[in-house]
Amino acid sequence: MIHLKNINKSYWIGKEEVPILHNINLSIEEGEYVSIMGPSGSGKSTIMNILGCLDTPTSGEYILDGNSVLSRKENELSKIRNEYIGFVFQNFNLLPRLTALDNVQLPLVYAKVNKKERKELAIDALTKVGLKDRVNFKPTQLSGGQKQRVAIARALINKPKFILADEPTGALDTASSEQVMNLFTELNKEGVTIVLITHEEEIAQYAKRSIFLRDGAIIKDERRELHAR
Amino acid sequence: MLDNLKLSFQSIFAHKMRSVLTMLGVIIGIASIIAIVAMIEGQKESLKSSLVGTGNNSIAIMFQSPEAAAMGGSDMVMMGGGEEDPPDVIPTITDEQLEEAKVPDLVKSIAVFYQNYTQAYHLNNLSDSELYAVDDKYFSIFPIKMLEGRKIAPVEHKNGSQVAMINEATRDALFPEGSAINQVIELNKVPFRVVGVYADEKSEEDNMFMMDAGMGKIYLPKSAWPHLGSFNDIPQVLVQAYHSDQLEEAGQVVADSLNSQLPATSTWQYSIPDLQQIMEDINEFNQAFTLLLGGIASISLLVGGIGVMNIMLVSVTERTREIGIKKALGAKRSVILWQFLTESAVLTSIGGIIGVLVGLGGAKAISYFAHLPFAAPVPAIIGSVVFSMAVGIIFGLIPSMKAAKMKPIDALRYE
Repeated sequence: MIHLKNINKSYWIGKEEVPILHNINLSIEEGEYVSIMGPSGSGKSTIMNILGCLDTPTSGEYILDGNSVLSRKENELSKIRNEYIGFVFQNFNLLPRLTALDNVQLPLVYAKVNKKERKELAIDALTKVGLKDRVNFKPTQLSGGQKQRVAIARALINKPKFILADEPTGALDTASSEQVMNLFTELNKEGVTIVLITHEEEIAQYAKRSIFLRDGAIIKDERRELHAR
Repeated sequence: MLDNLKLSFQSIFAHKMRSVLTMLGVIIGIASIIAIVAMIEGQKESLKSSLVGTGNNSIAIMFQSPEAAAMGGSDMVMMGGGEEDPPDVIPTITDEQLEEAKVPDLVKSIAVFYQNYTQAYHLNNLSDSELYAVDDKYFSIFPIKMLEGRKIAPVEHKNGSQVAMINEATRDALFPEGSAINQVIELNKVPFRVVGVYADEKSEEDNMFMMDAGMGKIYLPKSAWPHLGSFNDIPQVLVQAYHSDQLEEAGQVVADSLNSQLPATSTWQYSIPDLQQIMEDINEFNQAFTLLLGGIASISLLVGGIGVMNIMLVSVTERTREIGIKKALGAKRSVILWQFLTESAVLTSIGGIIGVLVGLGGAKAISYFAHLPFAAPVPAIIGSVVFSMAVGIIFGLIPSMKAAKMKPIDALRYE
């Protein structure tokens, strides 16, 4: 479903070209639970940005669900992000002035779903992450773990092709982290494809497949038969 | 769109102080425009109604010297002779002449009357009063409401009886206690019997003759005027038209008809005030005034607009992350553009509405304390709110475009 072919990415710092990714080839199929691991500076954020259609590679090909997503216009990329990808960020990235319900609804607003349906779907999604009784809370009234679960509900709402989680437990305590990771495992069992970006070995253990990056190249790609827990 | 409006109000109210300060330029600009226009409109209305008897479609014809006529006849106070040399021919207007001047479907009614100022006495009481020697036709143009007694009877009009109707002010001055009815008052040393007291009202008539309300006023039968001695024999003519837009035409027809009856030696002529000219003069003055103050208001709106742009730029920078999140979740450029344009337009529209209220309040206060007329200028109010919204859209454009163009990755990375 996700195919990265010969992806290269470099940034320009002044007149000097700084290569970040070298010849990345990666395929992720539907229903997989993949972690992308690596120390900081290994290029995992860049891969995440490319996978999330937030950034474009210098060269290479990205085929998502049979369609090439490179050389698309910005508005088309917005549409792809909206329909295909559910984002979960390290720092939650909820809009502070909106309630949990409104935050979760946001992708549906951009997909032009009508108000009534939007609300029903959002309540369903919040119920699924165990926050049915927090729908009208604002982010400031929620704990870190609850915020991240709202963000997961938001990522799920458009029934995306995959969820892209960037250090989802980076700002959480151990108990909340566990809760969030169990939720991902739960969702994967239901068939949701998950791509997890992390630098923590322990977190990566939840995934069925781990990809290791170093200095912008894949150095290891291993599959586990069983879940860690 | 509704969501955008909701969001706009939320973010405007989230920074109340900042929003009010940002709006200040727009508020001041719009308030001054509204106040100025309200004062000018009020002035115009009252001038118009003092020149043209608005309510009752009547126009005064003046018997003037050529010099006075050349001045456009705008000097209404000159009516009744003033300090000029007396005319060489004092005309008399007969009923036949009036019948002839009365063009059907145009002139509804013509009233001829004499007017002068005198002191009225009763015992030791004195009242400064305007005397009006009139006939029944006069009251069909300017109706009065009786308080006590009765009106002057037709037979008294016919016979030149020495009877009078006085207004409240005259009654209060001459008869501080006791009834005025059937009492005798002295006008220019000639006795008149009071038959009625009528109500003082701020009437069209007062407007037309620029009278102060509360001044003494006495009506006599026109036929009794000669008894007073000839202290002002120049007849005044009042023409009532069927329609207000035929006012000048009706006045001109009657003036021409009366002029044709004058002896050839008369240099004085009947003429109507040149309403067109007067209105043009007023409009010209108002236009110059409007232009000047409009310019000042425009500059304050421009400055206000730049303030709005400045704050919107700050707001866009502050909300870089929000923009990044929205874009990551699938918001297109237009969504972001409209969000900020709406916010900017709502901000200035609120400013505009506050400005309208402040301006109206200010104009009302000025008109109250300076005793100036006031009229709410509806087109200007609507125009101001629309204009302030336009200011928001125009000056919000650059910040909104900046927001819309942000790359999601840069916006998300922003700390």
